[in-house]
Amino acid sequence: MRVTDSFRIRTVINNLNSSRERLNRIQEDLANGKRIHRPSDDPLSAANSLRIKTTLEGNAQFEKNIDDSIAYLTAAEAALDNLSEILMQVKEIVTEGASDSIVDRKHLATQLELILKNMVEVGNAKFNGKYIFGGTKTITPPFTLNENELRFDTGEDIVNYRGNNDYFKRQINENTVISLNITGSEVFQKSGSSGVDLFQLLKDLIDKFKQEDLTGERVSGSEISPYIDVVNRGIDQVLESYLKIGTRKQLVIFNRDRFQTQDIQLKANLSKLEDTDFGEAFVQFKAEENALNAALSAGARVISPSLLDFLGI
Amino acid sequence: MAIGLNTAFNVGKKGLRAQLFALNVTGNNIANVNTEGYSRRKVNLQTSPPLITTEGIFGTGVDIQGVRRIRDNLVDRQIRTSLKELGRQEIKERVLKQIETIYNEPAEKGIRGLLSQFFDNFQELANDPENVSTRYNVREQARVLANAFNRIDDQLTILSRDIEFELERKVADVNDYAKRIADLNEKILAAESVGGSANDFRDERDRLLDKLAKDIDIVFSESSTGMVNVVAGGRSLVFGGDYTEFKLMTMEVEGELHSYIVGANDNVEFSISNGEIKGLLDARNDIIPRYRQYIDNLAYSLITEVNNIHIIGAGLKGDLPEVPYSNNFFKGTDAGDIALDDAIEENVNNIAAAYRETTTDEQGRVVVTANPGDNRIALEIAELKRRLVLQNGIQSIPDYLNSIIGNLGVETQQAMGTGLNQKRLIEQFQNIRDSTSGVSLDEEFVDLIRYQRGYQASARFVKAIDEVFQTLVNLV
Repeated sequence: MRVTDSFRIRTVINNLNSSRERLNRIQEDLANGKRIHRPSDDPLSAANSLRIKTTLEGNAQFEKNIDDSIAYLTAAEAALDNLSEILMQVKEIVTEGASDSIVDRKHLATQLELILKNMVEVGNAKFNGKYIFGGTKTITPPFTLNENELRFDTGEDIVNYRGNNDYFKRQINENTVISLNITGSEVFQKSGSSGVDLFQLLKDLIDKFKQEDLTGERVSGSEISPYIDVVNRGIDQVLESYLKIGTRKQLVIFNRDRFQTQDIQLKANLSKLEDTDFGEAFVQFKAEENALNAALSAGARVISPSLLDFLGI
Repeated sequence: MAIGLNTAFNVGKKGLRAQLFALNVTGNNIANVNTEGYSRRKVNLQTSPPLITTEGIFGTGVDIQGVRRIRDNLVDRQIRTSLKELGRQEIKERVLKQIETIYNEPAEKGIRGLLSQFFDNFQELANDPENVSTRYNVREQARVLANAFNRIDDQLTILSRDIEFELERKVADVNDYAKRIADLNEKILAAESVGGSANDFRDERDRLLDKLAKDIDIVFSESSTGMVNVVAGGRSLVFGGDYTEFKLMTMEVEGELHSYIVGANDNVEFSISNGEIKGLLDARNDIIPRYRQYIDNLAYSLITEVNNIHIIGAGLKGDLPEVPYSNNFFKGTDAGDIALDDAIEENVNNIAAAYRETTTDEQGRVVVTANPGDNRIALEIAELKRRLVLQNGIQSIPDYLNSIIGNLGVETQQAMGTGLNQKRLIEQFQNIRDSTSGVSLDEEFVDLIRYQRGYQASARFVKAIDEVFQTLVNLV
């Protein structure tokens, strides 16, 4: 085969080009730290890495949702804790009022009036500027105390509930949406045969304790003692809600932990797909660099000499 | 004897002439060692017909038969067949790579990330629907997303226009080549029919045919008169000294501009099937419209799905935006015109997170309200991220985007691979062509010495005959 000048030059140039192209690719990987710069570098890995990124971002958002939920649930727990303590106080007062040896129950009524106002405040507890126990009516106070009723006993409700019975939801993973809140009615004014209207209970007790003073007739302890049972039922009612909140809190914490584990795995997968393996890349780079140098050196030697150099012309 | 001397002088003269001529040809080869498309020349020297006399057969020297052009027509054909495929794949690869840049994935601010964040922002809204600042976030992010869609659409349009410009240029090029080939056909015919050589013209014509072969799918053949006829796209491009011009025609097809090649005089189509022009036509008529369609599908799906949920919701104060607003979140129908609804742009409180509820107020009028803590609409829109709403219920909106990107990567990779193969193939053929037709300086240097020595030898012979003649003359 005749090896002509243009043949040699073309071969040298083509080889140099290929070598430089390979070197360029590796250099891109090194400079960027990523091995996929465009989808065509590795289409399958590119599509997979996009999917993983979207999932990771979704998980981060779920974790935010969970953190927000935990804060809310903690605030709800604190309010219910408060409420429990209040009811314990009520129980003590009722127990005291149920004894026949007591002289004057009026001071007990006064105490209970204060406790009633306190309870309404607990009912209007807030978290992050929003009312906890109002259902989805979160910017208006759910409970209002009917002062008139307290003073004049006109037969209306002692406390009006202006919230609703809707739940607001939080999505805590791809498949799970939970209701976050407990409504005011569930906690304070549960309906049904075993449910206790805490406010009404207090109002009744206040009336009972004031009765002696108003009517002049002696009220026996046995008229008061049945209320102890009701108070107990009320305490249980609050406890039920408290446990519900507690369980919810556990559920979301569990999910958050699950995400954190999952994220570690996902991030590892992502890194494998898109990150440059620096060790390997450096070695390759060195090898290609050497190859390029060899090609340059060899190319120089191949191109230059011709018979002219030796003919002495 | 005089006859002998005369013959001898003639022989010497012819020898000198032949060697000098050969030196010239060698010099020409050397001068053209770097000329592209140059085929080396070789001198054809032939022994002159001998004189047959009673005393024997006398040689009469050397004749110059002509200058041969060393060219392998088969390899030319092979190169040109591969060139048209290479031309098409190179263009295809280039266009697809540009589309990769337009889609801009994987990247920090690519549309995938923006889409993901758009949905996640609605989760944030669901966490805090009473808050107006989360709504500002949602709106801002949605604007950025819509702009990203618009940008992709714009860039595709610009790319398509650039391709049109390039097509115009290529069409002009091809017309030029065709004209020059036709011209050369006539020149070659004229030169060769009087027994001359048209080597330079042939070289020039081959160069033009190579260029033409990369641009369109030519089928060519040389007639017995030495003219090359070229057929392209099923129609005659060059026939003898005549050539057909073609031009570019643009038509709108389904909202997209398509291009066709038609004869300049008769508007009949050339169905080009290969070459760079085919690559450009494909880019304009198939590739770009397809990738625009994909992104339009994505935008349309996003717009309709979000709007379908949003329209039954109500904004922050529970109010509906006033007529003529529609309680949509997006307006537009595709990637080119997707934008936020005017109501949202005007007042961020119009972003709905809650279900719309109707109640009657104290005066018995129907009032629209929404509960401030209600976040069901926000949650539903956020959940669109994972809902399978595309391709008959197998893909979510992010899935669809991923498959577009994956498809793009595969298509580009294939074009690169095919192009590389063609390049390698052509390299092989070019090596063969160089081997056959290329100038080897080593060879030419040897020839230089050879012909120079030959000339010197002939000169020496002439001197010898001259001395003989002198002797003869001095005898008398």
